[in-house]
Amino acid sequence: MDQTNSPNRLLDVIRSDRLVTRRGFVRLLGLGAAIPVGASLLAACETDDDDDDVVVDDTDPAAPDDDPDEVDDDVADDEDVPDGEPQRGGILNLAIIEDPDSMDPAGTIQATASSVQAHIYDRLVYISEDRTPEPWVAEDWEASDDGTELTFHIRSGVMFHDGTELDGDAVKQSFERILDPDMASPALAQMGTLQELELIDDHSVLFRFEEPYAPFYTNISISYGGIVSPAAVEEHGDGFGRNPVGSGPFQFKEWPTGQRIALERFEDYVNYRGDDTNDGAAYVDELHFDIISDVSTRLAALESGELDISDVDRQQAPDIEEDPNFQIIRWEDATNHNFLEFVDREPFNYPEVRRAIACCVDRQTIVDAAYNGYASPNLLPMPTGLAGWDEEIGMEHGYPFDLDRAQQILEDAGWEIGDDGVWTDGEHRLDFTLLFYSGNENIRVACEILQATLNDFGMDVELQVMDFGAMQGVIEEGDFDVNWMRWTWPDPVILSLLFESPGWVGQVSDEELDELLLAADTEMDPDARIDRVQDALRYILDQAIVAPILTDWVINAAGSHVHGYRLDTLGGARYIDVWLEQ
Amino acid sequence: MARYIVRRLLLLIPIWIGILALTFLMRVLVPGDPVEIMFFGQQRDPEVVAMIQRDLGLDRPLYEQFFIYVWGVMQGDLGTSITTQNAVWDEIKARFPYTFVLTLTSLGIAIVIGLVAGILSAVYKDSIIDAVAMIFALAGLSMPAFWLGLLLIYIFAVQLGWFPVLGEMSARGMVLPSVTLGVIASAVLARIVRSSMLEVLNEDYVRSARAKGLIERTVIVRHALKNALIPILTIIGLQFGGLLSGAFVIEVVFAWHGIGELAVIALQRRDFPLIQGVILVVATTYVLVNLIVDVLYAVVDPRITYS
Repeated sequence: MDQTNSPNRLLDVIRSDRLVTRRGFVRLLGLGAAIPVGASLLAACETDDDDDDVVVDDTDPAAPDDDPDEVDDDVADDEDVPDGEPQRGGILNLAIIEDPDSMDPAGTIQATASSVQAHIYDRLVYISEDRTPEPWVAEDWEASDDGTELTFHIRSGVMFHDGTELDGDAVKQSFERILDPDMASPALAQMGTLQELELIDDHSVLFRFEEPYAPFYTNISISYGGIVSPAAVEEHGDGFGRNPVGSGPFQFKEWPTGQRIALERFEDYVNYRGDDTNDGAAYVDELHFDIISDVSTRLAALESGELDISDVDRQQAPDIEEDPNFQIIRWEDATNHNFLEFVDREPFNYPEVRRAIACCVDRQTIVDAAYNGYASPNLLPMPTGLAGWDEEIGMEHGYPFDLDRAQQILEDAGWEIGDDGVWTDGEHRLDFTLLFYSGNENIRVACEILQATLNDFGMDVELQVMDFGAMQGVIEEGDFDVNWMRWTWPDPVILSLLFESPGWVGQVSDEELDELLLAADTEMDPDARIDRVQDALRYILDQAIVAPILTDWVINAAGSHVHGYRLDTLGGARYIDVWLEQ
Repeated sequence: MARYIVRRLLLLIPIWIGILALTFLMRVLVPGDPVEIMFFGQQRDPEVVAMIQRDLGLDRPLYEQFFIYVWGVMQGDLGTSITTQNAVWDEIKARFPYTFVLTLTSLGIAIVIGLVAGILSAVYKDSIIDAVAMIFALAGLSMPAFWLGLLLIYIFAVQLGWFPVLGEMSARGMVLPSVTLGVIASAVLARIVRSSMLEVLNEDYVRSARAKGLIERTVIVRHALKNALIPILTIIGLQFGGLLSGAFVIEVVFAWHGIGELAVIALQRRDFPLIQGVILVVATTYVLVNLIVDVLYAVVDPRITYS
């Protein structure tokens, strides 16, 4: 820890104006409990996160899975009215929730790993605020008319940390490693229909696809697309994942197992991303990712000055917002998606039942009471932050909270309230179990609210909570009625991931929908793709395949001495502009 | 004595087999597949999933996996962690010292507090000192360790800034986690010391010691405490196990990078080789510590001999 963020400086402030308040302590104790461990990256369903979560979620400050663009006033002020020249130096102390499995882009899809390696490797493109790919290491690119060939032109003079050049051959080898069957790369599926690569010249690489694959730009803009140094791969072999060499703003320094990962500034770095301010080497000397799995501990470490940036729980966020020692960075257009899933069994495979349940979701109350306001009600079956999301479609085809409409839907389909006060169609009774996973306090409270609303409406709902790993097995077996699920994914392809037959947990099978999804995933023109995505959204809503609920925001907190921190469009943390006030 | 120790060590073998069988059974009883969890919510290529399962040996019948695992353990190979891809033994080796040191310092604190509080409350039975010590013991018994840990963090790290929040292998960094665990463990010890001392203090030889004019401190420490030590030693041995498992929670709270934290993460990920490795090491440590306690009985009480 350097002088910049030494705990003493912050503590002086803290001591001077704060007593041990009951509220503060309750805040600290309240946090806890939820360590989600999800599995995935930006891609995943997060387990929780809420802060914790699985982090890439909110959990990881370092790897927020979500995006950034929304910055609160404090930060906006910093950007609008620069309060001084950026200062070089210092260690930026961050937290990750677990020891990553590998720092090799071809060797992992783990969210935590991605959150660290994002700063070691540059990618061909990044996704801009308008959700289109922009040049990064690739200077430009062109697609063939049929969309099955993409040729990327690589910039000259981009150097790896080991002094070798990042050229077309390095790009080709990086992606061929993922395609290599012997590598068994978990990232293989992210490459879609990519078949092979061809080196056109020293700085041009042709990517050949079996059929057009629209999500490719998003997928290679996140950590799977990191370009690795072929020389380092050859030198370290299987050990490359623990000795990563890329061309990013930070180079690998050390990784004592189970403790922390330290990266240091790459002095020769040239930043080609247009969404950052700094086009040269990073300002901070080092990034330290300490492994801290408990969200309460992360908050305490932030308050004591041992961490500079951390995720915070939605219960704590209001207190932190009021505290002048900290700033809150929140990403409202996030790629988090909370929804109810239904088993493919009677009566849940009756559209009227799903529609009625969707009408009973009081989204605003859930947002206010369970998420402390840090979420956006969502009527669409995909996160609010994705290309194609359009509230009007939700209003027109979706199911805003409306108990009268729910009643009408059921009555029209022949259901009535039985003698016991529960809806019945003579054959079935609307009594069911709502399953959710443990560790996410927001979801627990939300499910309780939902249960109360549904029961008042004449359903007989019980709640069941399970450890995340156990719940996964249960839903994949189809051994549930209705469950609350949370996914995070940065591209509209989330629709295919969830709903393409047989559905991600085998509960959806719909050929018409499959065709719509295929059309969206193979449309390479961004505008036309949005139209195709919206066709699918309408269909999913008409069938009420799921009941969308909300997109929870990503909330990070940073010490007031931290400047320039932001999350990018896909929720990736950007540290290149960060400087620490000395 | 040597034969006794060897016999006790040999007993480790059936214990190991039992642990291996039980932890392996966990794979069947606990829902959740590690590879599925790894890919949860991600696009996956079925061939890649199959290959990873093959690499991990998860595609074989369970009994075969069990024998392969046991055979590996017999050769000192605890397998490979599914999540970190490191050898389980390397993971444990890197972290065990943290847990062991934390446990020892906590035990030290527990012994000091427990002995002092227990002796004082026995000697000054029914006095205000006794009442205070026993209220302390009751509080220690009732308080969840993670709660005390967060309380200490809030007061001494966040507000006062005397110690770091994040545990680190330094004198300053060890204070809060050690005190948390030590205080909790001292509660039981204080009560046992008290009752054990009360029993001994009524013995004739204590009265004799006083009658022959020994100073009270000598009577308490050399005559009473020494004879009260056997139950106290037993509890200390048992507490060691309690501290090892208590460390599971406390290590997470203090981001103390020991095997407790490792185990918690491994459980969430269903990283069975890692979970089995941790349980095996913890259980072995526990058995060895209790063997040491048994040997100490003979040292403390010459009437006890092993043959």
